[in-house]
Amino acid sequence: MLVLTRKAGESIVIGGEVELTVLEIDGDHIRLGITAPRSVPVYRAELWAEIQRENALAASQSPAAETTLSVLAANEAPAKRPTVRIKSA
Amino acid sequence: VEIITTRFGQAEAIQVAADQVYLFPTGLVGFPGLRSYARIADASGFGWLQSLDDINHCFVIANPAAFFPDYGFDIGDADVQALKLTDAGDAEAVVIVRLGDTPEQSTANLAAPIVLNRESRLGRQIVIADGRWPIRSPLLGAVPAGA
Repeated sequence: MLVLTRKAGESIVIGGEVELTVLEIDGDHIRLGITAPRSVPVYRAELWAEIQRENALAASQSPAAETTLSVLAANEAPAKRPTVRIKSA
Repeated sequence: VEIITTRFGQAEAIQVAADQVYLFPTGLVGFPGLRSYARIADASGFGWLQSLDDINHCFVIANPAAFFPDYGFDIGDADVQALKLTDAGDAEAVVIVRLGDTPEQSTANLAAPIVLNRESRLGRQIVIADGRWPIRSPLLGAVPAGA
């Protein structure tokens, strides 16, 4: 891991397109500003890790889940597909 | 094409049509190397995404509208480009379901839905970072009792 020391107001540039700025330091809280192209999604690492974990848990089912699925299927409301909206730029 | 599926932990060979195979260029979150999935329809509204790269990865998917009538989300430029989406009508949203031992313990991941482009047959897991939708949303309880 590359380690750099920065003060409030200073930045680092990653890959020429992403700039990470230390905005404010207050005790153990550090506010970061991120400038990145829209094609580079930025997430808190905890959210990413939690979705990884959830995907891993969902990747296989126990044989008992077959009964669960049949009960759930009977409870399902008839529904249209949700609409996916494309966010206008 | 014949594929092997591991629904409910049992390996089984089934036939799927070529147009049921989707490419996820960046995989699912946590599984970037697993890029090809067969979408297997079920008699119920549930379905399956079976990895063609690793037979031990088989996800239950559902139409979120069947359990969460208010559910919806916007997708941004990066997702639209990755999916080569030109017409919103080609996009279909599904959510990954984690089946528990009972229906009450079963949840859907509304924070990271999957969008499938039926035209390009590309798929992508979208991360909704604003916290509006939970990662583990119980499937029952979302539907009024007795409904």
